Amino acid sequence: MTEATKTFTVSQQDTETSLLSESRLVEESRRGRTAAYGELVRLYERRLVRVIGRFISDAWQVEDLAQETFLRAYTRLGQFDTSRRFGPWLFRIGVNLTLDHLRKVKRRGRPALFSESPFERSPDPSVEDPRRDLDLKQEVREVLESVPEKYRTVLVLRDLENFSTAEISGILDRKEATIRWRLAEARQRFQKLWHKRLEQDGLAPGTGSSPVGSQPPGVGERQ
Amino acid sequence: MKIHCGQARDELSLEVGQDLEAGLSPELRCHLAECPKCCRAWLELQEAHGHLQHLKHDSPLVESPGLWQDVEIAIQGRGLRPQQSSFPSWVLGVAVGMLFTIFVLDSFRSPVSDDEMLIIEMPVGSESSALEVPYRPQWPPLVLVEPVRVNRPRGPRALTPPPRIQPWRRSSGIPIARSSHKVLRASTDADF
Repeated sequence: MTEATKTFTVSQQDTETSLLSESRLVEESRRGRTAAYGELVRLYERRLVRVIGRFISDAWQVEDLAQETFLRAYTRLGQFDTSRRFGPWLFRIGVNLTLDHLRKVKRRGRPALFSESPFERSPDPSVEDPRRDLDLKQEVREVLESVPEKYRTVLVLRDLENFSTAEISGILDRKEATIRWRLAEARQRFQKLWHKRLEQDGLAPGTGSSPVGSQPPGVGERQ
Repeated sequence: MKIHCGQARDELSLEVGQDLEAGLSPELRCHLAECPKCCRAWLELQEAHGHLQHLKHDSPLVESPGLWQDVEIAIQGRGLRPQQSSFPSWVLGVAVGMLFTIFVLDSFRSPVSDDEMLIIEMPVGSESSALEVPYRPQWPPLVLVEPVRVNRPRGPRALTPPPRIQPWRRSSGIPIARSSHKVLRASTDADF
């Protein structure tokens, strides 16, 4: 047996064990054993908070939404199919709650995604163009914010949270082909918006500050 | 096989995040070598994607959430319980059972009797031929009514016998199924 086969077998066993363990915890939670649900919460809370935090920058709001997600998932445990993984189902509830929250905020006319960051620096009036002084990350966040929601969601889940397209299709309840199409569209839109922003800043694309660790342009290079 | 720019851009957008299982296809490489616009777009895509990766390693807003305590308090405080599935599985079981029973009962039904044969008469030249078709009674049942004669206009058109008004009618007055209607219209005055 090769090393790769061994690794695959071990990881497959881990997945199966984890699936069994999750379904056991869900069954026990359904019977009213809240401690079992506590284990599920501990298993997923970090990842859930991180995912919600990709859409909302207010830490309190993120915690509230994560808590609400766990409560909603608890009351809907009867609808969960134990032959499937708990994670995508939980993230589906969490992402839907988050997007609903963002829509409500948008309807109320308040700034939404990434705009309530406590770490946001106030612009320096002595600087000619305040945007130039902003952190590169902030710029990227702002560009990402301007990508339409349905594309942004896929982009965030794939490129920032590293979910596979199959997992995203489970979370968003869409076909995998749809997710792949949206992902391609999302990356193109982000690229165009980024390019436009560089043009507005008077920087030609390709001459902007290159990110540390970003791959050099080259055809067919894979990491 | 050549590919067009739209297809190339889509594939490049997936490849930039290593979402193409087979990597860049030879056709795409060929297209990139020939199309400066797509080549430029590929470089821009890589640059934009690289910037996006900056956010990937951001430290989370909440390092150690410890949500369980709050969740547990809320569960107990609100008296929450896991709800059972909104669609009870026994309803599905009963429906399947009923369908099966109907199927079984239907298979034990007696074969079609002589009374339930539908006779279709068709004019063939100057004679008429009859065709007997097994007929399953419907509900409400069909009753036989007296045939109605129709005065045909004299002249060359009268050579073709007009269709006779079908003599079948339901006792309830509900018109019978369209398919039966068509079949019965096939018999003509000339046959009577």
